[in-house]
Amino acid sequence: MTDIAPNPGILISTEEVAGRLGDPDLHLVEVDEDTTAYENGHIPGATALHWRDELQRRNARDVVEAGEFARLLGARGITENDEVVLYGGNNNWFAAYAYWYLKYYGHERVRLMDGGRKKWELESRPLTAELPRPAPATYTPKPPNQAIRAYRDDVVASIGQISMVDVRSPEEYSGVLAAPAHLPQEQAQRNGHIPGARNMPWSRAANPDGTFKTLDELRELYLGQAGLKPDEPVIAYCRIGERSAHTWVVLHELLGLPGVRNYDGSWTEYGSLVGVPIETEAAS
Amino acid sequence: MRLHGRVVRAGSPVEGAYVQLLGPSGDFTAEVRTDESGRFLFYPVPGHWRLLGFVPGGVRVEREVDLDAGQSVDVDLPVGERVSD
Repeated sequence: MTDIAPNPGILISTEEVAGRLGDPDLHLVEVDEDTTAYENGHIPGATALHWRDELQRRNARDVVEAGEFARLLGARGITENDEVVLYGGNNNWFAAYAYWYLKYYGHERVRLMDGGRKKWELESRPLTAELPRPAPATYTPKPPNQAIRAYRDDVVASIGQISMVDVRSPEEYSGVLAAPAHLPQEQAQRNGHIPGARNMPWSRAANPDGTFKTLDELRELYLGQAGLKPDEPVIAYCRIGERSAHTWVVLHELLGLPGVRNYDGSWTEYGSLVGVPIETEAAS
Repeated sequence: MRLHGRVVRAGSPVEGAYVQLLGPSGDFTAEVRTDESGRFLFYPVPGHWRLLGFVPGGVRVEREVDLDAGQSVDVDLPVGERVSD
């Protein structure tokens, strides 16, 4: 049996962030689905990363190369040794994606603001449209950590072999919806899920205010209800890899399960592949 | 098919409220932030849905909606009330 190493220290509360505003050692970075949110108002001192225009390559569907990643963080005054706190809208979906992304490039001191932008706003904490001007820094990335990323060939070869968790809503899992219901419904070529994948919506790991549930509640959800084994590999996926990054944070970081990978190609890739099997029935 | 509406308080729009759409399964399906007109918009499918609104200050508002095929529905979420269709 693998020992698991829970790490709730990767979370920082809105209260603690509010108490550290102006701390030059704290690098706040906002990452949103709604990329205009930052421009309209953000936590004072926070910079932003654009999940699509900056964190995705332009001429390939992939994460940016290490050199570009280093340029992005260096331009925000961040070095590889700095403490980075990520937050964003949509219950931290894209902030969790950025967290996974920073871990992919070996950044060690990264945390998520628990509850994200929603909790900060609902607590009526300060926002500003003033843009920070960080002094550029030199960022040296580590080699990509492929142990936390799954690719389509891994997924296809893993059907029926290892645990897969589909973290989308039950309606997307069963094929009734193609995307979250706040988005127009045109996405992958087929709806449904990867055969054998269990449906454990990301949202069950979160409280209504966007914070993560307690470690005991998360253990019950994933090791109890979902039946995941700490010493077995797991692949998490969703539609484009951001909600599954949220679940990856829960499993790999908060609960400390070492064999969990995020399939960032997710359903928009798998559901458009020619010749792969798809299931469409709802979870029992 | 659209489910749209406004979060209102005493008839005035509430900007910056968060509205969650819970699906027929009871699970979270989507969440949006209301705009300056208090408006939100979802693209659901026919079924029984629940809207949950969160307003700064800790106020919560809730409404249940049944959608038929091809229907677009416009609903208000009045702060301080729970409404069922």
